[in-house]
Amino acid sequence: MGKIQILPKQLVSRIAAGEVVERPASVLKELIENALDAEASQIDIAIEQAGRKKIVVRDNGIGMDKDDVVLAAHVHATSKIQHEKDLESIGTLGFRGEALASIAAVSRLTILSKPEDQTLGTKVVVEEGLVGEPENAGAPTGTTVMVETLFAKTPARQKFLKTPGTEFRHIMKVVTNAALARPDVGFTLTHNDKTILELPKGSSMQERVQDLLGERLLSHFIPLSRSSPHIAIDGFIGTPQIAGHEKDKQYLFINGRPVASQLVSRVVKDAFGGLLEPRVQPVFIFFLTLPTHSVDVNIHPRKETVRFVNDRTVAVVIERSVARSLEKHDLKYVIKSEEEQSLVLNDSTVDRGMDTYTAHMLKDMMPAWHASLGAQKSDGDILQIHNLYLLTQTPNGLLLIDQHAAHERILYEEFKEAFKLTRDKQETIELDEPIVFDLPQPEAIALDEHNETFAKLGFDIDHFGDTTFKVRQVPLIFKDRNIPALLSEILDGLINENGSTKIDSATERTLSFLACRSAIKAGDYLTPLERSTLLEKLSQCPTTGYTCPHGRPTQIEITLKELERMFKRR
Amino acid sequence: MSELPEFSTPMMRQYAEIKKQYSDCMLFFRLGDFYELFMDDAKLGAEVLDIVLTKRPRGKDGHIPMAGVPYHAADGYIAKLVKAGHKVAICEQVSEPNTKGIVERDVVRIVTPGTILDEKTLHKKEHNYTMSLSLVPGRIGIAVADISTGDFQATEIPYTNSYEQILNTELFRFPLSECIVNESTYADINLLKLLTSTRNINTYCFSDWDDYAADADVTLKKHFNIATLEGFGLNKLTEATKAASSLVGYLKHTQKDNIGHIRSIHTYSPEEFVRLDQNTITNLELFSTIREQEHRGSLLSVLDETNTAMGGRLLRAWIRKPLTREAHIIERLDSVEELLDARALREKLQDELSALNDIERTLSRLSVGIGNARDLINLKQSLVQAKKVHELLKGSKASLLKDLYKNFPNDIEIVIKWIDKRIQDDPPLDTKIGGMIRDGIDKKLDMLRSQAQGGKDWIAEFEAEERKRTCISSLKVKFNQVFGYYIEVSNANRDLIPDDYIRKQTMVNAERFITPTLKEYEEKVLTAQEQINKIELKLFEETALGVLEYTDTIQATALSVATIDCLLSFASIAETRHYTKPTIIVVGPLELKDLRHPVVETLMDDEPFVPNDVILNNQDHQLLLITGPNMAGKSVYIRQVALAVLLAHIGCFVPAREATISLVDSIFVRSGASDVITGGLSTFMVEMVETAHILTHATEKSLIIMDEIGRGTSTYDGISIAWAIAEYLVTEQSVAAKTLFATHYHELQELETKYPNKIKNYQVAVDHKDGNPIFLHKVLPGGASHSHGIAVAKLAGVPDEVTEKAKAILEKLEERHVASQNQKSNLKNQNEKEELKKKSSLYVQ
Repeated sequence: MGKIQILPKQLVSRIAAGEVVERPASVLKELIENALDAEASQIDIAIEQAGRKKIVVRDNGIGMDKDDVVLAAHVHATSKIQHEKDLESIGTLGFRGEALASIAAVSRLTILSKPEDQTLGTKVVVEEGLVGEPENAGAPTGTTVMVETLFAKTPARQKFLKTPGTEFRHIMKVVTNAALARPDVGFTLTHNDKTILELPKGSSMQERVQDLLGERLLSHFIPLSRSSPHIAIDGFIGTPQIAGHEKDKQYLFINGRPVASQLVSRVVKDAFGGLLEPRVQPVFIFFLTLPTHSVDVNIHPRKETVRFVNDRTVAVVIERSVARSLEKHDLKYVIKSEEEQSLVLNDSTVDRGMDTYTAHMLKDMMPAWHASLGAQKSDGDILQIHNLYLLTQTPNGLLLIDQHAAHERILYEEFKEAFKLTRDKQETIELDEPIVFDLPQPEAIALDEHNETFAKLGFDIDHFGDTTFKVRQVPLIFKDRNIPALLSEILDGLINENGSTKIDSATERTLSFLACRSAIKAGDYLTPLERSTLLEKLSQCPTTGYTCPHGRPTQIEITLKELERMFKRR
Repeated sequence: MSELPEFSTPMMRQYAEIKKQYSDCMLFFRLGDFYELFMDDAKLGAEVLDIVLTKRPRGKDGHIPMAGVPYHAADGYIAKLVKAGHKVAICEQVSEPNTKGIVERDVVRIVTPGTILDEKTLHKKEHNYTMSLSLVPGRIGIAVADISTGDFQATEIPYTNSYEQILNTELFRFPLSECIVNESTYADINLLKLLTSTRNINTYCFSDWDDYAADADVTLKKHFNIATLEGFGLNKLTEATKAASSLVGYLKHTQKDNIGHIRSIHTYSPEEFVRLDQNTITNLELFSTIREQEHRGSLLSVLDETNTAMGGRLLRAWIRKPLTREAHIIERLDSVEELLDARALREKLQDELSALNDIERTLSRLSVGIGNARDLINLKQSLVQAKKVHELLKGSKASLLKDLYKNFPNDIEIVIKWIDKRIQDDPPLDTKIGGMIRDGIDKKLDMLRSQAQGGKDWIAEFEAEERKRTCISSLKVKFNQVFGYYIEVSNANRDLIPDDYIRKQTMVNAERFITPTLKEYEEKVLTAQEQINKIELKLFEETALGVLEYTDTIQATALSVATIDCLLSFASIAETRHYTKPTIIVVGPLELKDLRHPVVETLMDDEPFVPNDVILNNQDHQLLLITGPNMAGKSVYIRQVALAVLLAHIGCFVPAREATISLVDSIFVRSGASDVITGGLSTFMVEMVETAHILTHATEKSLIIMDEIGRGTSTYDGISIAWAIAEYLVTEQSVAAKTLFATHYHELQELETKYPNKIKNYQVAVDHKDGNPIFLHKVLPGGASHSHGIAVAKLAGVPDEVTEKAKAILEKLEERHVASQNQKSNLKNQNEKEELKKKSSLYVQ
């Protein structure tokens, strides 16, 4: 008898079983976890057609003997827990003993495995849930699992799969998670025979982060490390410059298991305080270590969420560690005077916008501000508040304007206009020297997908091998901007916005992200002239000008009546 | 080549004169913007180059056949001719055209397959050698030179009966494209066949070969400017010296003496390197695959992750010349290990290296006088990069890396500064149009430049003044090649044209004029420019000469960079492909655990590559007899052992989990399966010639891979020969090499019982399911009993009728065989045999 045993029925019922196999990425996740549990130091993954045709995971772990290989294909067979009490302290990644069986139910599954001490390996094929006869097979030490024709027999499930692009992004996410959690383990990933990732084993955390997320992100990471008797935390937080609108760059590992936790996301965001705009999500990679009994991983069928036994302790420790790291790096968002720029503006690697061409263009445009909004010109004074809002008076009362949202709306309209006129492109500028830059894999894929839209806008971007791109021409409004950073941000947004695949909405999304990422940011100082130009242009927007393309208001009017009410004059 | 007639025009007489001196070459005769071929050359050229053959009517001479190519596109045409095996002599105009008489012309360079320098023709990562051979009874002298890099090597080897195999081995150490010999050697049919048909080397008889050979010492001493040849290790090697001298003579002849970049001769003796003959190189698919002759699928394709052309060339040279000295191998292995562990350093090195140009070839172009100012700038940038690369090695611990860092020549800085100070950053390719030299280098140049500039400024101002004076606002001063500077006035303003304008040309809507003052300034500008161009060319040449003073230093730097690049490539492969550092021992066993085939493992699809162990020693595992069915992986197994040994000897990590490798002097790989075109010899004859070569040259330090020897003849012949060879290899002490012997002849398994202290049986395991074999690719002790040829035939799609019939025949044959075996069942080891069968029945049913 090998290491694997069938679980007692009673135990099976206790396990929160469910749909393990939702999409190719979830299959891959189970297989990688198995490989890691088998003490592999090298995991090679081959994917075909985003996993629909084939998923192969090969490890050099301890392998299984013949008995184990046969059992592994049966439901609720696992080597990882044997008794009910083991559930309370799960140290391995997989544990329910249902992964392979669930996968086998919806695919053709081949397992080939050999333990170190045996000469020959064993091969078993499971088709439509039927476990075939085990055969002798030549094999290196370790296990290879091949999943073919996933969901071929369950058309209903197949219908729910997204485009190959989307499915592959999920796969990337799974691999990225696993690879971040274990920099000591080597990973390779090929998709349709093209090498996507080659991560050497024995890497340091820094090296692994750089390989996966790129040098640019790494340079914006602040390391963080702290331990208390109950919890140890290790990892990185990203500076505000690289924060995005999605949580996709939040990596949380609890005892080595990639999970998502609302609690942790919120706590980190809170710790950033005023450093981040309201809708922006911080970037972080955290490794939490806490005793196995103080965290419950068994509340989600895909083991993706966890519950802490003591929420408050965890929250406090995390918030303090983050806050302290931020303080140590002097990242306080303090505006001392209007002239002083916040720290992020000094960073040349990130695109900030207003000190560049866009600003000049705004300046050059009609200095006067017509009263089309119904505003009074007053002294021409428009007050900028905390470099976030503009305040001016109207015949009816006060008008508060969110400078970022407003500019975003303006740009969006301009882009749309330009796009409509399109086919005779927007004004573009040829760069003196083409810019060649690298993008992280998911963003590179997205750029390939959306390149046509970019082209219509006046970008001339060429794929330049692997994940390298060359930009030769950009829309005039992007003159002097940090193009790679800008594109990276836009793509980042595109990746995370799920939506239909219609070309029009794709274009629309591109446009709105383009607008958003090129707009003035909260925290940018505007000269009085720029302020009035901004309001002027906003007033020319169609009625939709009252919200930004994402639906946030651009302006709020407080009428005299309301003011009077507030001051109890009436 | 027909005798040239007596021509009547001076130019054709000049042509005939020059052509006579270079009668073995196609003469590219410069006429203005064209190179022309005449007479027979023209006919041949028109055919090879697919250009128009015309006739030039020349009065009394009648019509002279002529074909030409434009000078700016000549390189491509020259390359094409040279590739077709022709030599091309380039004849340029060497004096300025003037009114008196015709211009002087002379041959400035001869382009041959070995001396071509065209960048587009040369393979970036491959050397291009010319060889000179000196062949006397009992000794071969070899000298090779790559004029594109300046590399020059020589050796001398004694031989007893035939030189062919020995020469062939040496020939494979270099990528050769040309060979020169003297007249008497040129008459040796066997040699010509070996060189031209087997190796496809253009072989020429060099008429001055014997003269240079007779004067060898003097020629070499003079060229290298040394007092004695001892420093080169040539003093006792008469034949090598002759070959080297004639080669120097030949290169001087083709380059018109401009071979200053060939600075020294490296003399090697064949024992310094592991012997790899043609069969080994082909059968191991080191540089290309046997079947398709493709790069993909070769060992090189896996190993080459070099970032520079120099690194690529050195890597190829390393593969051709595996080291035999322990210290040298360990030096490389240690460096690879250190680089492997320093990932950040590797990335930086790769970045810096990839910005390097080909230093050696740039220098060579400058040396033979076809370089330009941009070459100098490239060289400067590359040297700056080289310096950065070496600086990154600061603090290295491995002795080789340490030496590379320490030995980086300080003089490089001088060269960098020298070029930087004198040459502008973005000079034109043409060296005759100025724009190359910086201001402040030459007083006269600066003065002329300001004169020319002043003239131009004046002309620009002249336009404004003339507009004011004539009140023609559309008046323009323009320039073209025909008129120089002129004034253009549109017809609308014709009546405003002043009297002092001299009409030059009338256009549809404008007229063009000059004035004496304008012409005066034009003259100033143009003469100044002409002088500037001349001075700049002179200064450029001076600068290039200054650089060439440091040829040795620059070449050493290039080699150093190449070495770093190769080591880096090895480290990178070790990381991505999970190779292991082998333990090197001078004598002892060869032990590899979980060994993989470096190439096949990269080509595997879903099936993982099955690693295998191997032990070879000079005792009980001296000869491993490997049996097993077709397709089971015997060939892959025995070849991966040879490849691992080769990799270790070039200082690379090996694809195994653990590796102990004892040094070898030769690797012989003989494959009965390779169906090379044999040049008239029968397959079996070739097989035996090669076997004879192995048996006479192998030593107990050799590694022999025999794949299905004897299969080129009838079964019984084959078995007998294979049997006898195997026995010879274990009984003859002098050739007791470590041997992997793969065979279909299961009868040979009996040898294990006969020589239990030498031979071990191994089999590639096969399982069965529903009567079909399942290949396990695992090598296990014991012998196989079936070849499964019929099953394989079935798998391959041979019709059932055929395979069924074959099965029936096989059964009959086997019955008969068993019967005869029973008849003479006097085998002493019957019991042991049964035992063996039981053992193997576990996997072979």
